[in-house]
Amino acid sequence: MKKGQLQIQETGFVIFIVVVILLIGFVLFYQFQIRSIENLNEKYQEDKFEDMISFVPSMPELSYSVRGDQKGSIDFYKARAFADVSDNEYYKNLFGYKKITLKVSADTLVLYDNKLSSYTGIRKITSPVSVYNAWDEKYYVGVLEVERYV
Amino acid sequence: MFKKGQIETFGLVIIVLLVVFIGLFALLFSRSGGDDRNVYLNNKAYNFANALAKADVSGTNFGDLATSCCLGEEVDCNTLRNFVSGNMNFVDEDSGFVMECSGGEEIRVGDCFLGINSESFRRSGKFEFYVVICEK
Repeated sequence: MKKGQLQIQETGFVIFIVVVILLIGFVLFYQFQIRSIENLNEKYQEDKFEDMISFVPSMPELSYSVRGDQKGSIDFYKARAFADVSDNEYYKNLFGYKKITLKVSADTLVLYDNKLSSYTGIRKITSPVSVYNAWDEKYYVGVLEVERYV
Repeated sequence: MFKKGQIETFGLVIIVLLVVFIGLFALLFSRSGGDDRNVYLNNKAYNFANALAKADVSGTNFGDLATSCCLGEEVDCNTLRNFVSGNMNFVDEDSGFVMECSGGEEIRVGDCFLGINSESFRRSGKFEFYVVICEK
């Protein structure tokens, strides 16, 4: 081969290598972006999950109020009624794949339960909450349990 | 086309750029989610303190019990301590309860006092208390 041909071959080879490196770069970058978006989504879901211990007790469907004045407690009878009606699309969209349980003294109320069909694990958080029982007009310390199917 | 010195300078620039990029990525990933965890523990501490503040303890309101304890009724102080420590079992993390009476006495229950505090609940001129939750 002549020197010119060799140089053209060399240039072609360098261009080929650069293109391959660029392609590998693009693939890695794309995978990195996908992973990053998945991580962000997981973090968002986790934050939303941990927020449940402050969100659930303050829901109007559950909170004890007198003439619109929120008292900062869960109304036990509202909670019992909520457990009967929570199995619908509105709450499935709101809570997702979770189980929410309220335990007060000897009573255990499953407020909401929507199992993920093929879950691999459960993340669970608990928090003490104030519960008002209108029957004896007393406030109790209950436990709110939120489980997330993952 | 290029002199040997120029090529070496290019190489050096590329290495410096690589190091800077790697450093930036490392910095990006080293950010921890500590703030979110603190928000969660703070919400939990608030829920606990709020539940205690409102609770009825063997026929008496928690606030009245705490007031009576601050006035020197040792029986009420023991009832309060037992009630608080009993409810600490509902918290997965280590927790603590700190009550300061207006007279200067302090009542502490639990084994964690350096952590995330709830806001203070007070009855003016009588007492002030808060709950502490420590990361496991």
